[in-house]
Amino acid sequence: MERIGKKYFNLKSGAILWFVFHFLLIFLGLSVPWEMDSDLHSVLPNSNEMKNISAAENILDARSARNIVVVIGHENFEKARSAAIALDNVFRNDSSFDETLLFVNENALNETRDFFFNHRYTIQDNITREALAMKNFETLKIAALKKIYGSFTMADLSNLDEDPFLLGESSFEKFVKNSPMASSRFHFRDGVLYARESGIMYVKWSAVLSEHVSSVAVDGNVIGRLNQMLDSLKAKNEGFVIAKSGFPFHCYESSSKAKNEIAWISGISVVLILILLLYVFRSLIPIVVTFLMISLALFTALALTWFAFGKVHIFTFVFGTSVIGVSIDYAVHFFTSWKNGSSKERNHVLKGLLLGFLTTELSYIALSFAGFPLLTQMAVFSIAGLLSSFLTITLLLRTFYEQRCDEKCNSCENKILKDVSTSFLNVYTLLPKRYSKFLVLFFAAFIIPGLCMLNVHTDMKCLYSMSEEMKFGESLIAEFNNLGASSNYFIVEGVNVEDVLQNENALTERLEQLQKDSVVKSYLAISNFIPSKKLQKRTSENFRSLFFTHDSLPTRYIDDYLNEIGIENDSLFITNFNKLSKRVAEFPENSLPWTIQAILRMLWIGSIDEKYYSAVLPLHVTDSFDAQKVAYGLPHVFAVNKMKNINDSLTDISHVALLLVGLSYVVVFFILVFVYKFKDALIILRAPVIAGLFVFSFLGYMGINVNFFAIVGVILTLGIGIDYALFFRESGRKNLTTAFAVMLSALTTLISFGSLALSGFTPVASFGFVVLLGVLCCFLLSPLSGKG
Amino acid sequence: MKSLFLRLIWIALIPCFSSSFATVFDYPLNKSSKSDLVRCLNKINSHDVITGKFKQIKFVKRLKHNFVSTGEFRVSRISGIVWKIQKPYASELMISGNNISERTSDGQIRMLHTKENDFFVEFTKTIQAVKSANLVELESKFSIFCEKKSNAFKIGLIPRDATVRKFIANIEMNISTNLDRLIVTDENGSVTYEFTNHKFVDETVLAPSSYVP
Repeated sequence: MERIGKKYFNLKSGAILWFVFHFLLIFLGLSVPWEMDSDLHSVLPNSNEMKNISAAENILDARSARNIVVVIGHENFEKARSAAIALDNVFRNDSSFDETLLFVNENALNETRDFFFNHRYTIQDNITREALAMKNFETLKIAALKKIYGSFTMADLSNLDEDPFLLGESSFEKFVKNSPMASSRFHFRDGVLYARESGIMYVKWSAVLSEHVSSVAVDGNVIGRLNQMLDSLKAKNEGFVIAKSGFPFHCYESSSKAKNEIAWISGISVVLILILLLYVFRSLIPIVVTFLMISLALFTALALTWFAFGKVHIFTFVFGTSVIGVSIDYAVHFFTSWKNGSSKERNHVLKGLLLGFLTTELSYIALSFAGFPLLTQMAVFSIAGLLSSFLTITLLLRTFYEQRCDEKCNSCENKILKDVSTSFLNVYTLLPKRYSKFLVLFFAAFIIPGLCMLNVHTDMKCLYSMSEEMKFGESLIAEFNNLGASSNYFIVEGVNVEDVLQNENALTERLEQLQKDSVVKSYLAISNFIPSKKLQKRTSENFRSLFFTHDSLPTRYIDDYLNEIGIENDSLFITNFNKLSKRVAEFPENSLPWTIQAILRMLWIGSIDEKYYSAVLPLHVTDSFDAQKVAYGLPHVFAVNKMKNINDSLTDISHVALLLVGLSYVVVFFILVFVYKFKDALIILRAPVIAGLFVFSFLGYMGINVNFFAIVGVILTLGIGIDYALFFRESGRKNLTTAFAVMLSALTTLISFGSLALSGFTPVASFGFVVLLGVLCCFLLSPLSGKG
Repeated sequence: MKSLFLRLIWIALIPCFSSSFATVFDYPLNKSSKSDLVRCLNKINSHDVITGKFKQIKFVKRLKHNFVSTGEFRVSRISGIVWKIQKPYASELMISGNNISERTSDGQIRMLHTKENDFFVEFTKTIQAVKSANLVELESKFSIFCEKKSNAFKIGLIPRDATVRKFIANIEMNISTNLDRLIVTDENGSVTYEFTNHKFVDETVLAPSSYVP
């Protein structure tokens, strides 16, 4: 190794190379703006094969992810209302919100009624359209008479002379029946919406977060300020009950918890590691140098990731802790060997470092091909960070320490640690060969049943646990809204708005049948409220054909009916028909009533790549509902189940990641066979592979699903574990310095990743627990890789 | 002389005219009329179930036309209200708690959405409040007026909520031994109910389902 070093790299050239590498990467990174990404959707794989449909899903998700609802409850309605007004006064003009809503237009329903009245000849319910198409005058007449003579004032009769068949009423009834309002428990009172539950009146306030505003917990964040105000209201102890709903609240709560956790988890682990290293080295220099090395590695990794991706996701930081863990291992091995080893021993360490570095990097390179944005980003981050640490050790620190420490340094030998290392190694040396073989076989036998019980599956729902407060809020508000939206819905595509509405008709016909069969209770589709122009014109033509053309109904039928209901003069009826029959409703139009605009905002996705998209939401579906089956055969209709698609994608990617890492280990095996012999290569790989299989087996026995994050943990275990085996292979099983260094590395890794296992976030905890178990196993098995 | 006589007669008649122009809304509820009202409401609500016939007269101001329907009703303290129109076009409404359903002529039952008709929601709540003699509930929603005439009462209700006033201007009730007449007035006209043939039955004897054919 030293011969190679002297030949190709003199120490000064090494330092220059180190400098150029870091300068280049940092320069590239600083040449682009640095942006953080906290959007969950951007790290998830596209859940749909078609790019546009995926983009449409993301637009819909992103839009709904900005909505928040707060209900303020009190036994006294006026108190609840006043508190809601106070809240609105504070946030109504806040630039962090695109809009806030407390006061509802009292005339909203009347405006909607007027809209359908004015479009009664073009927008109609199915039964009326069918009757018009069949020229079934009797059906129209009887339906109108029942309403006229029916109970109370179910229909508004004030415009009977203009609308003798109450077509406006039937169109409005259809709107109410199909709109989200129908099933909602919110009622209108004194200008606000309220709902009652267990004697408490809850007044509703809602808002839409601006696109540029993140929900991550930072100082001054609007969600934080909103929470503060709501908490102070509750703290007054005047009987207020608050419930909140919306993704921004969850994101804020999670990121607050994450901040606190990172603070105490990383704080405790850093302190413990510092104490350990101080105790071992009895000097601040290795610690300061290690700290600087890790900082530089992280900064370099960030710079390259920013340059390559434009944005760095916060999850990359979490999983990028592997850089810290492995970098500490390199540093510990370096400083331990330089303090206590001879020149020959140092060369063995360098060889071990080089091979360990190459094998770990190979695993990350394999991961970058998994086709998962976060994984690729994490791989690039880790590759750059590890390369930086490796170069710092081999090119810079070696330069510095080589000049200072040509001979073995005996200073500061720690007797306790030396005794512990000796005792640790003695367990392996005292173990008879046949028993060690028996142990390995027993281990393998123990692993296999567990592996058979393994279930590789990622369920995003299980990875997030809501606080009790948020659970209460979500469930209460969901009950009030009573929308019944399902994770299964449809995206409809078209070349223009009219095309989308016509394509929706094909889908809604099937949904109508499912409604009759009680498979779905109702559904939301734009075409239900604003039909296609083609359908509107047909409705109007059918009406004209029934009443006003030469082959229409005889006029005496109409006259008899009008006389029956007290209309002597049909001129208003005729004039209005001529005026309104061509009135086709279109969107997007600001003249539409607020109630319809609210529905459009929910369903209309808009234009992507010169095509147009809308969503159709089935509501209150039963277990027998199969969206794929409903969409089958409809060329412009796509069934979507984002959660299932993501779960399936993550599970598939987990399989692919494992396969890729397995393949990279095959490559590593060939490299090791080239450097060592075939048998030695097998022995080196034995420890990390058995450790990985042991972890999987353990999860299988415990019945824990192996999720994506656990698999990333196993991949990291393989990367770290092989380093321990390589160090022992290079130095021999009885080398105290190596044992000591491996123990120290393992301890620091166990402390840092073990603390992650205590996290309240399931993905982080899964990752931390798997690495903890895997590295422990690697540590216990690694001495068996050494000779002697 | 003759002119003086005529003037005297005119002066004597003025109070009569005045009193005939006075409506129930000239008599806001006071302490003494309140106790009378409570006694009256308790008396008409002393039975679990009341059935009878009704005549519904819908007057549309703009058309100056009456639409007359007749039918039968059943009001139960426990199971709610059934409103069955028989002529000229049959329909049936069932109100129980917060649920309102309609039975069509072909026997199909469909749930109605209360959002379809705010008037209807308020009206049924009012009827339920009257039937349960819940004066507190009535006073919270309405300004109450009460005029006593021999053994009968005329009650007027004006909604306190401005929004409700948009679709119910006022409600008038004539009560003697039973609720005889109810008039709901809005800006477009009025709906008058004349109740007759009152019968009182025990809840356990006649369940709603057997009442409905």
